[in-house]
Amino acid sequence: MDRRKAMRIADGEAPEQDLDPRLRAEVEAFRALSDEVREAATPRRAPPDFEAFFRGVEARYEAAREARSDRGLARWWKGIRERPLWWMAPVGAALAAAALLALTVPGERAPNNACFVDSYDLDRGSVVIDQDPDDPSRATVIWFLEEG
Amino acid sequence: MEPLERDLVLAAKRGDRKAFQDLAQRYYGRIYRMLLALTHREEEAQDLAQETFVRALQGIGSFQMGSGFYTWLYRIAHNVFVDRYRQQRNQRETSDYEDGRKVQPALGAETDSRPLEPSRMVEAQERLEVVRQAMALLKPEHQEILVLREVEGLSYEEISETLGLKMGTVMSRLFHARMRLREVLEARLGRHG
Repeated sequence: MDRRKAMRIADGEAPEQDLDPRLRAEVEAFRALSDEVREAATPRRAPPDFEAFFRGVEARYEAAREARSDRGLARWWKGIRERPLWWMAPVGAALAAAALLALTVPGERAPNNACFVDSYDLDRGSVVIDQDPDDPSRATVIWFLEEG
Repeated sequence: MEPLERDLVLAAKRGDRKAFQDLAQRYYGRIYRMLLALTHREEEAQDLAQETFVRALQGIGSFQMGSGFYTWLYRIAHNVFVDRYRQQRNQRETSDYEDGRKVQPALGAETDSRPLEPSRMVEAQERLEVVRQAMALLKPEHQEILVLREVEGLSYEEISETLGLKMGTVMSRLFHARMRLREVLEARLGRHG
């Protein structure tokens, strides 16, 4: 819990005032790690030339649009050729509507015992469900953060 | 959203390609750098950045004015990255199955966790390289949240909005990402700090 608080202080997400001296070293360790990650992970190279980049975006967009349009037309034509009984469509639509109605009308349902656990946000603060996905043997900690 | 950006977004939603281009020019550098930090490969980062803007162009009509434009873009970039990662993982699993080799844990990751020789630890540049390698060993969602926090400088709330996560999940994931990174650095350097 203290380490997590130290992290939030280091990130400027919790007030630093009245900082427990025992936490100061942790806060500094998080800040040092952040500095290293920032320096290591920030790419030094400039992004590619924008004009060329955007020409590529437009070319891909147009290609995707044409492909979609061709696919739609081809599907429609294929459907007409392969299923000449197109007049059956209204019957199909009626059956689909009946199936939908049957699904939406409340009836006897098996109880759902599935359990989903996630953190959730409140008007003021958060309930943190803290799990280590890499290690299921560790305890799941549930705690409430009062600060917004 | 500042007035000029709001006007550009409204125009882009109406199909004004020049307005969309101006918006893209504002953010393509940040999107590219974020993807480069995740993929470590310039060509792939450019490819993914272009795909991000293609999807943005396709979806700009349905953009909700209430949310931030950059946040929306980041979310698209995140989805593009995740899609590519899954695609590569599936390909790797297929080829690993065929070859009978072990599946690698993360995009671009190396599995060598042997400590480096002491003589190599002293140079700052080499140390940063170790940090880069350690980050590449993290799971993609851990890499991503660290990049959003440390490289992009997003607040917890912005990360929550960008990734569609609860604030508590952001804190928890960030904490575990950093703890895991510390562990890897300790294994590689013998200590951290």
